[in-house]
Amino acid sequence: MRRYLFTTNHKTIGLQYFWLSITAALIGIALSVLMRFHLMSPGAKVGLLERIWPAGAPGGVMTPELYLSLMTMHGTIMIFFVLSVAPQSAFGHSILPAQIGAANMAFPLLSSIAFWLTAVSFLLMLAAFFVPGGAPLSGWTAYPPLSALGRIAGPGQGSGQTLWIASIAVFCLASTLGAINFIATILDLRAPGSGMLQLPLTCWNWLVTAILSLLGFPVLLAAGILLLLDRTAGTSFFVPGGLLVNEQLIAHKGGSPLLWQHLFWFFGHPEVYIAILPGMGLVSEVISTFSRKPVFGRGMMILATFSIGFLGLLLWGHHMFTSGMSPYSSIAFSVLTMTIGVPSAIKTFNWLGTLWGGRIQLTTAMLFALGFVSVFITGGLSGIFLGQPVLDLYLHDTYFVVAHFHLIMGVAAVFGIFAATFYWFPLMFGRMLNEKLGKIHFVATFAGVYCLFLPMHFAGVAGNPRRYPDFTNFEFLAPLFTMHRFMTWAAFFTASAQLVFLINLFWSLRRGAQAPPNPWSAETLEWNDERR
Amino acid sequence: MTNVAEAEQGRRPAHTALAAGLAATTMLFAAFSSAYIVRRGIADDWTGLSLPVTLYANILVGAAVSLAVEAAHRNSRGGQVRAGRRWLCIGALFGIVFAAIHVDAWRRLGRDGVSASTSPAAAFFFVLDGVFVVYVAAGIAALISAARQPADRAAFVSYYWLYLNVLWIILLTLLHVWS
Repeated sequence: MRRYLFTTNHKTIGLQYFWLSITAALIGIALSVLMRFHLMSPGAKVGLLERIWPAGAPGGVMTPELYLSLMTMHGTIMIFFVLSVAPQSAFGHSILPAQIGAANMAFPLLSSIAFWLTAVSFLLMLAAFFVPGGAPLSGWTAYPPLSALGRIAGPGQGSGQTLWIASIAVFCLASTLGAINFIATILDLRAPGSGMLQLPLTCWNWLVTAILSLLGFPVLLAAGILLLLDRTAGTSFFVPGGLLVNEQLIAHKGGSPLLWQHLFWFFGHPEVYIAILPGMGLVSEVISTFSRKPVFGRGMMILATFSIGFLGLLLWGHHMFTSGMSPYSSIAFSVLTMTIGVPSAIKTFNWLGTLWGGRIQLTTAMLFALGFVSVFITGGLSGIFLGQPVLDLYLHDTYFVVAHFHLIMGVAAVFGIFAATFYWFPLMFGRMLNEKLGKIHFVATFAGVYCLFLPMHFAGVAGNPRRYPDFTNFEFLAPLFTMHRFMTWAAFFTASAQLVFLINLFWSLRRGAQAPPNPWSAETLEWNDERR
Repeated sequence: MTNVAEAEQGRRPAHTALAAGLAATTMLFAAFSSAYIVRRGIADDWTGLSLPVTLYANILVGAAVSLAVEAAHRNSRGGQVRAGRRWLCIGALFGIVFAAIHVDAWRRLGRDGVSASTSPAAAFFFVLDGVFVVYVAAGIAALISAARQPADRAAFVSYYWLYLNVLWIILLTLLHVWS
């Protein structure tokens, strides 16, 4: 116990982050399954729901408020504790020092502090389920005034929302400390004679991700502090005047909800690149290894990574096209959004160029890397539609958006995590994951996610709003019920497919084949680490 | 590799970490400042806030901290470790005075019935100054810690306090001009 509590060993800390994100992913999947079940059968009585959430599911029927709080926590847990932890912190801590020839991270104590702050943040977030009123229902974006008014705004908006904000604030601190550590490690701890240009693409992507974290998380922290003050200290940063909520006139005045949106999305857009960039780096290395070819256009890949990072800081306004901001700023954000498609396309074509003429080996890691490319293209293409303000006026807050971000974050980034797990499992645990089970898991998940998320594009174009707990009240959505039932069954199937991964993971931890020193004949330095 | 070269190589990550940390701090205060400017711009309920004059005089106290730390750095680099340690302790004392003036300013405003909920200007003052004092406290802790190994740490602390002084001048200008 003491070893795990006080460790400063980067591999152990990497594993701690890994298990935290696995736990978070299981909770997030469970929440999404409950949501999809409710959408398919809104009036269904489920005794278990009433036992867990007596106020949120009286008589076993999920209330709209409970649905929205499950949705809020699903998004928050997945985005922060899975996508912002596993690709960077988990695999980065495990692998980065070995890849650059360093003994450990630059500041091992900082690694430990950052992990334990992340763990505290996770516990604070989970605690929101158990306080009176339950978890908040304002979405992972926590827009005021709903998130700023306290208990009067609805169930979960009291202590639940406060815990949510506190959790996010602690997470911001943890991520910023982690980013400082990554930057110092990559820039200053490379083996003698190892220049920046010799670094694997994984390291370049971890570096840019760390820079984005460094610049983005402090802004979210600032916003969180202001929101907490609006809730507890009678300030009005985000709350306008004249609000009548539940027949009570709110005392706040003069604040701007748009101010929160700008602060939030200034962080929120780089956040999606924080989620995807490490996966992109890993995919480049995996495709190269299993094509037996160097990465095509390596220099351009590095430039593309920096371009994505730089542009990613500039185009947050595309989340706010319908907020009433000036159409001229919309044009600027739209042009920048389309511009970021260029480095993204460079990466995609370079992956294809790496595959071209290669001696391809379809290991599970390679399958997930190829799957990443597939869903990155699919999910990315819908982003181009959403980047047009005139189209987004219609598509905003519809299932088209849900399809887009789930394919590109919920699937592509997660495929990156799966690829990294299968690829680096020998280094992290000294054993091999079962390839047969891995391929079954890949095929089932790949089919499942396309069945689940592709129809959402059609639902969105048909006008299906997002964040609605119940569609049965809307006649114009009746033709979509069959498609929603299909999507729910696809969700059940995809969630079940993850059991194959879990069985593979836990079985291989104990009984997996002993890993040879370099099972993939890869050429990066972590496979030559004599400390293993 | 020589001892000096090894020491230099060991200091490089610390330099990088300090630069990265200050970049993150800049983003934090940039976020607060931009919120302040936006809130001031949209508000029809803005009333000005008179800042206690001691906060302006605090620029000199902050400068005294920086000068003390710079003296510590020069002495330590010249091999005079005890003198360096002494200057760091003097710097820490000035740092405590610096923080105390901020806390006293809050007390004075509180005595005049001004709190965060009084007005937007007051709210932003308490937020900006409150977060700034957290960094000052960290700076004082850094001074005390540096006194144990002045040769290695005085340089970092001198950069940190220089940053804090520049930041305080910027924040004070913002609060003064927009209040």
